[in-house]
Amino acid sequence: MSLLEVKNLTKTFGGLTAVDDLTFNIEKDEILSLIGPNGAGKTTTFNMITGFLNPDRGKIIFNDIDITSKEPHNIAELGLIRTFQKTNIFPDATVYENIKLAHFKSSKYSILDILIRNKKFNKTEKRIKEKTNEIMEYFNLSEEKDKKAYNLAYGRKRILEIAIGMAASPKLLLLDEPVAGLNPKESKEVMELIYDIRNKGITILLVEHDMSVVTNVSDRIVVINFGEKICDGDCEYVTSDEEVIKAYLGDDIDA
Amino acid sequence: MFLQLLINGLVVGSGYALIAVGHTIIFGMMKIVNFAHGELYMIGAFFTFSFVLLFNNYYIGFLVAMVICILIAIFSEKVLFHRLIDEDIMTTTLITIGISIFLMNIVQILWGANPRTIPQPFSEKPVIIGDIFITKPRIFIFFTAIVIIGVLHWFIKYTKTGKAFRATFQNRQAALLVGININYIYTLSYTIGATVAGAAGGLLGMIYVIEPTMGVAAVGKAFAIVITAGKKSIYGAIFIAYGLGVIESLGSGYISSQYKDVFAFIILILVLLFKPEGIFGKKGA
Amino acid sequence: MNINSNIKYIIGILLLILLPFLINNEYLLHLLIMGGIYTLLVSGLNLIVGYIGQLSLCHPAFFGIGAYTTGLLFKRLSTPFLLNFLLAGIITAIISIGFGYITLRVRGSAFIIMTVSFLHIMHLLVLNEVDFTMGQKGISGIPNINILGYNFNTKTSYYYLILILCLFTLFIIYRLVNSEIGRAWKAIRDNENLAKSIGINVFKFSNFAFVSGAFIAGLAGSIYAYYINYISPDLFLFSITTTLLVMLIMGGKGTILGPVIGAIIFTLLPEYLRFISEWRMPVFGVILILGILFFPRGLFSIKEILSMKMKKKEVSS
Repeated sequence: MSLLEVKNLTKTFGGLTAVDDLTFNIEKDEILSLIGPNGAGKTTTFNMITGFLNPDRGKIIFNDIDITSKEPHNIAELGLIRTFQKTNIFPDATVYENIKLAHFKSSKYSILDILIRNKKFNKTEKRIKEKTNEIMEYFNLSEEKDKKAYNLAYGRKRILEIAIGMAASPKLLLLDEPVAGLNPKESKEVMELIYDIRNKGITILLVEHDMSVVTNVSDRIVVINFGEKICDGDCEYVTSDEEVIKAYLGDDIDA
Repeated sequence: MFLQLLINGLVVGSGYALIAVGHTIIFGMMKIVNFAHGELYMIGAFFTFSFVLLFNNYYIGFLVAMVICILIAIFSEKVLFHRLIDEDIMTTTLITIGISIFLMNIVQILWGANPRTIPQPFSEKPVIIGDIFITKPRIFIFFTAIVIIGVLHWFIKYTKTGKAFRATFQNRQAALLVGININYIYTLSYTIGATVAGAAGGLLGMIYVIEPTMGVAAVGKAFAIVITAGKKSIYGAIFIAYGLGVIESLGSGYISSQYKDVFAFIILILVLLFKPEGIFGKKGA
Repeated sequence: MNINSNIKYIIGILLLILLPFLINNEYLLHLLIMGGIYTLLVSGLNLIVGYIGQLSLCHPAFFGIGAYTTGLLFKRLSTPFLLNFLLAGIITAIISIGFGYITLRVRGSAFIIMTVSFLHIMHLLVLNEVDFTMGQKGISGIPNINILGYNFNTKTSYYYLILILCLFTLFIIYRLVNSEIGRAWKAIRDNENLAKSIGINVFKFSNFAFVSGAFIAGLAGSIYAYYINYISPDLFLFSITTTLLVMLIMGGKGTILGPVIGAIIFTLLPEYLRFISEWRMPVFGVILILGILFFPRGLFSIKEILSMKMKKKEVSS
């Protein structure tokens, strides 16, 4: 059984087909990259999987549960956590608070527990604090703990984004162009981080338009162009596929 | 009875149309939830009142009042409203609420709170067609509003500035790219919107009492109209405005006059529930 | 909270307890009671405006509904205080659940307009349903509070009642804000899409803040009706919304003590500036404009603003 199954997903915007009958799946513990030139429908697909957009047709099944057209927070509740293409953090909160906020799912106490601050409350809060510190440590953010998030350097913001995603205890982490705008060194760092996260038992779906970024880390690559899947396989297979090369050459000329 | 109510409704609708047109322009162009818009309507009425008394002539008084409205509009756009473009909605709303309270209470102090009406230049004798009564100021208001809307339409559709105006209204980024001076367009839009509202005050003040709080009630209606029509639809707003005037008139004739002000909000709530982008709005716009 | 700040709070509360003995001035005591009622109102409004980041302009409606529930229950059924008080809160909360259920689906301008409309419609209803609400005349002759035979017939007794209510409310708000719930609120305010994507049900938490604020306003309305012994449709006027907003903005939205400071200062200040009494509202308007432009985090963030400017200078030099 696949962790995520996307079946015949279709979305049109005013006559323009953004995603056309797209089918693919993600196995547990793999890093799958969804790539394609700009405007190929990657982010639209992403938004449909995470409930931010409703598909016109098709099914999305996560962990045996049909999540098609569910609300984003319900989907997140199930362990499918996303980041955004444009940097998305809580700008006015500190780095520490950002990560603490993201532990929302792990606090399972009632209003009564909050008001009387019983053992259950204190234990949960303590655990969240520890986990927050752990995650900051892991992402090397501890030194910038008390900085307001909007004050971070761009590269650090992108790291914080992934840290927020991790804090929300994902089973499947969807990263939307996590290295966009980073320099090669930073970009390599993030990719190593992603590889390491997978080794912690978290499945990863990566969206990227630059193929060279993902070839080193991906177990499998799905290529889409004009909303349709044109290739699905391991790195070697995909990079030698003629249609893929054609799609990317076209893209290069544009860029 | 029905025809009488219909005609009364169209006259009230003319006033709503003038207020709502300006509101749509400012809302659509500058993304400002302008709570102070009704105050221009109120100020238009009070200046018209005072200048009509001063010159002892309605037409001169009205025109002088409109010149003052234009000056106030240019001044307030340059000093304050210009800074509000692209601010978040909470900030702009709170600031325009502040402006609204300030203007309303200043007028209350300067003119006093007692209600009055603008002296009208026509004979008291109403026009009677069959069993329909229409007073002359109402006829004047209706046709003046049509003329103002017509001029506005001509400006937007057929002048060069109007073209730039339309471009900026639809897509500011694109307007910037083709070299439109959008600061000028903003000042112009705000001035047009505010002055047209002021004109509504100077006109409707002949048939309704004018008082410092009249702007607050008017801006509520204008909001209801703009959102019902769809945020970026100028002609939709005009249509809804006349429609609302008629609905209110029929509603107060056949149902209850005490609750005539509620109809606008019931329509608004229904629209927001079932067609949140507005009747003439485009999805995702 | 460390021990040091605990001591500060204890001293503060002791001072508040001793205050009636220290000031010995009936009128000042009255103002403090009104300041307390405003504290409840502004603290409730702060939940939706300060923590969720949605501008609600209908808060006085909930205050008025609470006051009218109390007034009508007393007039028609002569029910005792404690029952009236609780029902005022509960009925207000139920109405706000219904209203929030419709309106909190939309954000920004549409929400703001709906709340103004709601206030306006409630005002019209109370004015026009004369048989039920007595219309413009209002309801007079509401007696003083009587709890189990103890009659609240002095200002001092009301002062202590309000003080207890305020402290209790602030305590609960403090605990809510410093928990998962408060964190969810702030997440929604700072970045709604990101909040959704980490599993926060935005609609549910916005509603909870809105209804909690309305519940507190309903209770405050009940106390007000008993304290003033008279209520009228003027409770539903937009000018009260303005006053509450000035208090909230100048005190500092999104903080726990901000609303308290704003409420007290803007209850006392106008009374001591009597000579400008007719200029009160225009001045409030200007304060609101300047406050938003220059102190978006409240007057008491001046220190913070100054230190930030200094830092900027250091960096630039």
